[in-house]
Amino acid sequence: MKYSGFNLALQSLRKHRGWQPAWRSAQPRKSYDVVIIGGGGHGLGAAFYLAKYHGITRVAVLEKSWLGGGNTARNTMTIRDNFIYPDTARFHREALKAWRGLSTDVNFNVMLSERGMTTILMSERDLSDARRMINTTAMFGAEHRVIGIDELRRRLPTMHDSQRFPVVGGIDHPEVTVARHDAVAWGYARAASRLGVDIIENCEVLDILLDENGVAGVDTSRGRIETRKVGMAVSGHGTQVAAMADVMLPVETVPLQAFVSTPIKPVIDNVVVIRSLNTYFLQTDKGELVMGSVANPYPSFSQQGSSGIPERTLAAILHLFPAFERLKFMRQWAGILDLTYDNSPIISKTTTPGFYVDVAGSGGFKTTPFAAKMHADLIANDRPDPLIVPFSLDRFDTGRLILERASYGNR
Amino acid sequence: MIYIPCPHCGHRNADEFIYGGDNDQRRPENPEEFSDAAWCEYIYTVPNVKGITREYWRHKRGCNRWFVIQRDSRTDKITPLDGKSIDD
Repeated sequence: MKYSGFNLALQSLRKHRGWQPAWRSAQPRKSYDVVIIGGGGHGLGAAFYLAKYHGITRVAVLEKSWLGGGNTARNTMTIRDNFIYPDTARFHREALKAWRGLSTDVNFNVMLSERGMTTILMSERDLSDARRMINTTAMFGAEHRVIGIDELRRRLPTMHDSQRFPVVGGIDHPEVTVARHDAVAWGYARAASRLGVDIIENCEVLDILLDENGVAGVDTSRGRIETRKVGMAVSGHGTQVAAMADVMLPVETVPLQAFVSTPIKPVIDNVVVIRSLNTYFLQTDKGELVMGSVANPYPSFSQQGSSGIPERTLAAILHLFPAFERLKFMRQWAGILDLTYDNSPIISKTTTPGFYVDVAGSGGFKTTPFAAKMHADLIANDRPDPLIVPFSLDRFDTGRLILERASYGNR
Repeated sequence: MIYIPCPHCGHRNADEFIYGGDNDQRRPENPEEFSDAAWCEYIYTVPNVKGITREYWRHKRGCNRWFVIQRDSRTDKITPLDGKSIDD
């Protein structure tokens, strides 16, 4: 059933008894043209674009637990494009644009809100770095600009002066967007399911079967599935899943934390980044403040971050926004990311024919629609689009790394 | 929160330490005989073990000593080393 004003009116007259589940809960079939491992935004998106743009509908998405329960649930909503290397700048520019029209595309409101971002700069070095970022990204069409201290105060009336690190100015990022992460996963799942994709939850991949031609199938907790193409869109356990296909990924598993306060009245209307203190926060539509910082200083699969990070994050925010001093924490959580040595994603073919990966997005929520499109294109045509050639797995052999500073890993 | 047993200072908050990488990786004896691919694999492909790993840590905000601990990467529990030390 299409979600529309007309159907909403119709269903309300019928006392809302006619709504259907958003996606079919499918049983695994014996064989598929493509199997996607990982039912988060990236995996479901790839399945949707395979069906929509490439006419491949015999597709299964295998998810170990529930849809969007991994890093799609961990992220802090922000979609930004302040990357300064040509490859990542081009990629994230396209990624930002790919969000526009997504709600219409999947007929599901992903609650995209172009609310902008403000970066607080606290030293001359911050300021010159900001100018460099702005001038570089402008070459790729991005519109960031430096703002003075007066405009910064107007935008953030709750901001307090700092004695230790005087605020010298800010950056206005008008195009930065937020979206609701669950809606992204559900929207893709629903749209893909309508095009015939099987979405199979509680189905863990135990092994990837190989023969002389490459991928031959997958063994799952719900039986064996034959397929010639597997797309992996896993975060946190990329090493383990890729190893099943004899691929060694150069990634490390690191927790990344986020924190949420109790809801309060609207006080911040865009994403706020305190650059020198490696911290950011924003206010959700419900009124909670969502806060985050850098990745954990040591690798772990434990999904518990180190205690130093919340401490430093809160100290940084309270230093400039003492008004939040008495706010209470509602939740703290950590998701595990796959991070590459150079903090850039890998969207690539591998040495195993028929095994494709879209991993290590370093907080890859912001690239979801575009990376999924590129991954689907890669699986369907077996060759990478020019925009993702720099993100191939063999860059670690050739030494052509993309050492991007604007990523979360930032090591 | 995890505590790290520093051999010199005792149990201290992990925040005082720097993670120094996996202890089971060894620099190859003859790197000049390595192919580029094998060398890159040594540099970039960390074992990323899900389970018990031995790893280097440095007590940066303390005695600055390097040492090896054994940690379960699933739970962050630190277990005693089985006779292995940094010199082995």
